[in-house]
Amino acid sequence: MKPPAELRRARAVVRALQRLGDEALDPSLDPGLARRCLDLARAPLTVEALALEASRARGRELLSSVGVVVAQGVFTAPLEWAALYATMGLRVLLKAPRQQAETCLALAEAMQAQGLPVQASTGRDLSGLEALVAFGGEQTAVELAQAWPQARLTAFGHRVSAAWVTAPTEPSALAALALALAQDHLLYDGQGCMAPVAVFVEGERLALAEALHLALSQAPWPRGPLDPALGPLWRERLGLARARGRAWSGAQHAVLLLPADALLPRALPRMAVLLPADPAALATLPLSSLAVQGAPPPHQAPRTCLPGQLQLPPFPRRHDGVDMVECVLAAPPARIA
Amino acid sequence: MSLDPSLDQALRAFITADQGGFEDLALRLFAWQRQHNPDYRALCADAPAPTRWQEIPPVPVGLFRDLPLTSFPPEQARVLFRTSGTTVGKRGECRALDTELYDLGARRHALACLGPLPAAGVALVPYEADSSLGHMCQDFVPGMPTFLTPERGLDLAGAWQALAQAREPLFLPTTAFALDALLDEGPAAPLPLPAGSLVMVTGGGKGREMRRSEAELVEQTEARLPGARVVGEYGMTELSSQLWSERPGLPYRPPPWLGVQALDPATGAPLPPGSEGLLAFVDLANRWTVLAIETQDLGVVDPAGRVQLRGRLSGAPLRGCSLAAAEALDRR
Repeated sequence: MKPPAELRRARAVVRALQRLGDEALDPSLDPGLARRCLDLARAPLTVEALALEASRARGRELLSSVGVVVAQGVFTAPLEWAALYATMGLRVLLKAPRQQAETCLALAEAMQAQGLPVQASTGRDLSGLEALVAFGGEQTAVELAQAWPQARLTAFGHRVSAAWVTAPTEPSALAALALALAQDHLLYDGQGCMAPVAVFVEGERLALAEALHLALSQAPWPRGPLDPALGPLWRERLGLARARGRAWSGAQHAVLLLPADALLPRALPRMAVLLPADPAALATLPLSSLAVQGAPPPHQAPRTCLPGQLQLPPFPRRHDGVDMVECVLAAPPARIA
Repeated sequence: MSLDPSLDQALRAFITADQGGFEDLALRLFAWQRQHNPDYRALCADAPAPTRWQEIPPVPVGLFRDLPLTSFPPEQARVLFRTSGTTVGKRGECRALDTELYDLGARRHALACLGPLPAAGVALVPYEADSSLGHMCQDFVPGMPTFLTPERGLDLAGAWQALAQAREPLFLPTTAFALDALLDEGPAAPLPLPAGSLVMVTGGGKGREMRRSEAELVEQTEARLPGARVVGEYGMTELSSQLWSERPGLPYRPPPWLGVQALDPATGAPLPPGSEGLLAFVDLANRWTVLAIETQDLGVVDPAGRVQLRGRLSGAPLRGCSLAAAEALDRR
């Protein structure tokens, strides 16, 4: 008996993902780190998961084409979108960021080699597409809607992530938490909306900071040089912590203890910022994901996970609370997540 | 609160009469500030003791938004200058007990670079009490009116009218942005200014779009205001000293009490002379805050110590689920 179309397409998609090589990596990251990120990003995109998720559209009116306006930053971000929509049988156009087009171009080529209608371009022509999934600010979403009024638009605004933890007193639990937080900070060099901009700590911050400094020092993760343009901000944040808190600086990382009013909604590569658990400060963040260990905060995020999982979203999932399948169903008007 | 009297006297002697050695004074002032400035002491805690002025740890200018950085109890401040805050919401603040060295140094170096300043003027710079630029310009030409106010913005018609009425050499301090706007208006025919007039251009567009390049700005100013010399000034709220250029675009000359070097943007380490890097200053006139400042401006320091500006360090890309969609709309 012939397998369902979703299953056949899912197999082709997974073959394409498996054949992605170094040409798909973000050249701004250390190659070893980038390979690790790619492996982790495609791991949940299995044949079964893709086919099952795609099958949710059965019996519903599905659009035939979608453009995904891909953000510069986390280079593996388009994988799940392209994989799901190709499995659903849509024609997919990846609008690649001009400064970081490698992954989209390699992904489209790999998909096409498997007979899947996925294309990539840095061009700005999004005409003829029935759906658009875009990452950008609210004003950009409005402008996209005006530019391409025929397309069903789902736009995702700027988001950040954070962790909210109770510092364990038991040494092995402390070390385990530090290791998990280290992973959250090291993956993708702190790029993307799932990188923690702060770790809010209930209890003894000093011991956790020292444990995290140790974990970051010892983590066998390859890491590249700091983007020179970030150097001044890096030194500024480090200086602020020296004046108003504490700072631990390693060759390729830093751990800062700062008061809650020093919260900056921007992650710097491999720089962990530990703040006292302050619900009011947390509430100021436009959260994408929140890693929680111990008592949860009053403020929730669209996605909650354990420390160590911030940059490893499962599949399927709701992206910032939005159902990815519904973005390509014929229906409601534009929305901004 | 005052400095160690002998250091105080030595700084004044150096700035007013070149007496003493720059490096010795820089190291002495650093030691004094580290002792009396708790923020600076914390920032320098891990730094080795400097033996040369180039080794004095610079403070990133952005920290003036978050820390008082005063070498005296900040509540005793009698002077407060604020940055313009055009690129980020929070403004940097520089406090002082007085402006004595600031004023002495500004006047002396301007005289050395420009010659005697005109006694009259028309300003296109802000005069708010917290503007260091406004303070300097009013000190140069007391009573000079400004045609840039928070209430009315740029009064270009008023400025042109004042220029047309000039009967003696004029000093026209202006931001590049205001000059760009000035040239958009006024009489089409050239308006000669009395010989000895000076147009001082400072700053860039502050993130705003300008119609003219720097070279066009100078050429058109010379054509529209013949008789005036166009010079460039480089200064910032966090510094007490200024650099002057014979013409915007040409290298800027620092005063003898201002050490300049270029740093590696990534590490903050000093670069060999002639390399392009982040500009860092050691300013002996920064008596009340910190003498060593790391800017976000790029430049090259030539063998004569002059500075060729190369613009601002380009901002690192925003991280986070980001702003790429703007690209999809860009120049459609």
